[in-house]
Amino acid sequence: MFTDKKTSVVDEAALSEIVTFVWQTLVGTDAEPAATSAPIDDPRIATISIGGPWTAALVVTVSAELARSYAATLLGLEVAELEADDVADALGELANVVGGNVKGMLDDDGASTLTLPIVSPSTPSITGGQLTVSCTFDIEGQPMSWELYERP
Amino acid sequence: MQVLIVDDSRAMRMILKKMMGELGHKDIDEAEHGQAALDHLEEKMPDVALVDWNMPVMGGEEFISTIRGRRDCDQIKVLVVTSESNPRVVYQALKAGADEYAMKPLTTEVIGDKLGMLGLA
Repeated sequence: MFTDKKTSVVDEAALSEIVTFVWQTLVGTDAEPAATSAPIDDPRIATISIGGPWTAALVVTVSAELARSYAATLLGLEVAELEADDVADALGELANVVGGNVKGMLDDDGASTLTLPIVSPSTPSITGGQLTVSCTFDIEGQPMSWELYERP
Repeated sequence: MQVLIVDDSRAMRMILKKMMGELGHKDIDEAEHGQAALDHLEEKMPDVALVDWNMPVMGGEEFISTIRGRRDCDQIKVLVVTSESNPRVVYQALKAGADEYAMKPLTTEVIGDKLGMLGLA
């Protein structure tokens, strides 16, 4: 279900719990932990960074198809009704809410900051970042991947 | 009751608008950041503002501080709605002049409870 990576401030169980809770609350369906993480075709990727004593980037990757259906569900629209920026906006908000909850776990007296999300069709460059936590979920047969990169 | 939702995410504005609608509030306006909200106040004064914290152009802290410096905005109740849960951010929000604080992801029940705490249910 999870990868076995370097010990992180946030471990895989915690990230998985946050993602499951946020997805259930925002979308109203279950995000089931998946055993494997296959490459995601035609990906849509949202990245949000945490800065401060602990610096990290949280990356969520879904297929373009899942991104559209998620955005439509979130907005209460049909896929055909989505406006140009809706998919990126919705995926960015998902990263933002999960990132905010991850940041809330830090015992840093509030010294960390959360950036605005960046949404792109390709994996962003996480300069100096090391993948420490990853987990994948099954959303009605489609994968949703989360990765946490920490910077020393 | 007149409601102003201030959030840079259209998705979150639509979610909050739907929740407020479920609570019986239909007079709802939107702004995508603090500056747009300030511009909106020149034309229409809400009873409550649901305000995100991290926004481009003008964030929640600057927006709240600005309206708390204006007498004509005294009656606006401010509910900060954000993914930020850190105690320091909560402190900053309340210090800036927010009346209540709610963390994303939200439910309609939570929003209703918070409005009740503000005497707006």
